[in-house]
Amino acid sequence: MKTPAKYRSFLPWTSLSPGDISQYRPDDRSGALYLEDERLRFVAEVAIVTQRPLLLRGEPGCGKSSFAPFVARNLNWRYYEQTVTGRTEAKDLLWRFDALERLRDARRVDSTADMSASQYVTPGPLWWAFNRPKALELVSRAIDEGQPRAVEPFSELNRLRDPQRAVVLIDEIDKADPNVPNDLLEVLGTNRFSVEEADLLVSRLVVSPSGPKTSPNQHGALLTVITTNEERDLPAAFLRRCVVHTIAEPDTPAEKNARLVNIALLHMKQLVEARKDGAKMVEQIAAKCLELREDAKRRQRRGPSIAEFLDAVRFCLVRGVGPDHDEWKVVQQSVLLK
Amino acid sequence: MLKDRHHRSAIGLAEALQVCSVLGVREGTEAQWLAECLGFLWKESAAEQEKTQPSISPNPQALPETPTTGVNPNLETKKLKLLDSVGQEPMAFETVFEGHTTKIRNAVEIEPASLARSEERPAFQPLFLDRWFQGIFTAVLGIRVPSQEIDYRKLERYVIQGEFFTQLPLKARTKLVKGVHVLLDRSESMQPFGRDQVELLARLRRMLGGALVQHSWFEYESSAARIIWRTSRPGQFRMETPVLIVTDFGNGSDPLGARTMDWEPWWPIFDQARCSRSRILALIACSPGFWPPGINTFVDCSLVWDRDTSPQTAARLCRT
Repeated sequence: MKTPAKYRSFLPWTSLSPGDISQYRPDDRSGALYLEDERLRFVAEVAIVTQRPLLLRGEPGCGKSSFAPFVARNLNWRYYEQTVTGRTEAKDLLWRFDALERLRDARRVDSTADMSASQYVTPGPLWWAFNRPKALELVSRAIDEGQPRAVEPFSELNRLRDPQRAVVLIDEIDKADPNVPNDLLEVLGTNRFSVEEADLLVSRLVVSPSGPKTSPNQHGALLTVITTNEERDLPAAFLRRCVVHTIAEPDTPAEKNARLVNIALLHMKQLVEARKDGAKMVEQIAAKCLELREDAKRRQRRGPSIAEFLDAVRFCLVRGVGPDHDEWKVVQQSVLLK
Repeated sequence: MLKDRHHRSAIGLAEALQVCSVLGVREGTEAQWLAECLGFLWKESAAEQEKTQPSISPNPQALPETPTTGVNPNLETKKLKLLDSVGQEPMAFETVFEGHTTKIRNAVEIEPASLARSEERPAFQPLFLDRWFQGIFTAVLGIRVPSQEIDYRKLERYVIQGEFFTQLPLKARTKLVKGVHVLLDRSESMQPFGRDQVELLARLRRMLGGALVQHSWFEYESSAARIIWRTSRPGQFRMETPVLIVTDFGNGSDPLGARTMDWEPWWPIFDQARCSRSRILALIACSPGFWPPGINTFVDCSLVWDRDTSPQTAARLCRT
């Protein structure tokens, strides 16, 4: 087999210009912006080529969850997500069965509707990513009083995207019971699962490579991004099946400062340019933020994250409040240090 | 060259080879990133290291010869004397080691172990085996909570028997949602286990999450039959949160004494746990033969805190 002479990245990495971005929302999942990170880009490519989930570690607010929608937009692949809670079970990522609804329908005297179990099964994000046609077929058949019981999640966002390829975000898996990663092992390894209630076997679609040689569609059709805040250890068997990357801070103070400033400029270019002292204000806030982080580290507390830094910058740029103002203390207490 | 780091896995190696062949990763920064994200350490091969390192000068200054061993020369002479009879019979040597004599004579001398090496402190090993830790504490601390799965057998029974039910019967599943409250004994007899206790606490936090693990330190004076709280006395335990007592119940303070136990100092803890419907669990760093009498009356599940305790043992002993 002819191997390429030198490594070349295939993952596009373009951020939208401020004019293309719709109204700002915090923790936005539009995937509009993400600061260039060579290593993260490479690791995402490894995950796509090896068809293994990408496990992103890092502190809260460092950009783990924002990466998946950004990659999905750049690849033009569909996007699905599920945020895990303490009550989430592995099955919830695959499907949900509404037994209560079924029982209620069964008790209706005048009901002539189809009572089969498949009517009450709702595909989960992994099902949509694995096999969208089967999921669509299921939801189209599950009708209640003329209305579908379920719709495809993020249908508006995914409308113009590749129907065969997908990015799935499973957010904060460490919040779940330790059984959840173990229960996902088989699904992630074999790319199929069985829906017990409806006696259905769902397998991941085989998608042929397409596009030019440099296209990411040549290398894969599914990227599963799993994030963890490392509040709990994940089982070794689960880690072994993942491509693992830690989004870490740079080493030197200068690099840390530059990174914060670049992220702020990327997200708030228009706001920064609207003020004469915008850039200077961002640098001052970045320096202050790093000071607070170091102080918090010494006291063994949690320092401000990137998300909190951006919130503070946004407020300060809009209201003209800098670190040398009296109001800064309130910003510090309510936004940065919690 | 990839060197295994934290998990041995042929799967990881297969992925590495796949990426190398598909993306053309051979060396450099990308190779290092690839190794780390798959759980390996990247190490340059000797040939590549030679390329990067400066070449050695052709006439290096000869280093003074130093003896390779620190053996006493008198001992050496004695040994040689013992071996004299063999040394004088070269033919015997050739005969015995026929075919291997050259190899033996040219063998590289093994350097003797140095004193510094033998003085190194051995690596810390926790009392529970690492690979069993999660299994043990899942069995010990797990609480049966309703899952989202309907228990169809139960439902069927209700329907057949015409029983009235107000909510669907759901299958119970063992989960770690309640966390644990750990009571750690730091009395004199438990001092040798100080580090083990700290490690246990850290490990439990990593397994359950910091928010679900509460802890308190105490000292149990068996002679005075009292418990002294070294951190603030635990208030009410959270409802249904297991209480894990890590102690030897004073066994270490008087190992040769009579096996009697005054449970009175422990009653407040047990009462408090019962009020909050918390299971009482004990980790005891000695064999069951030395456990205090009556322990099974007050403690729901007791485990020996050592490397022989397996998840199966824990599950069997702590079956609810």
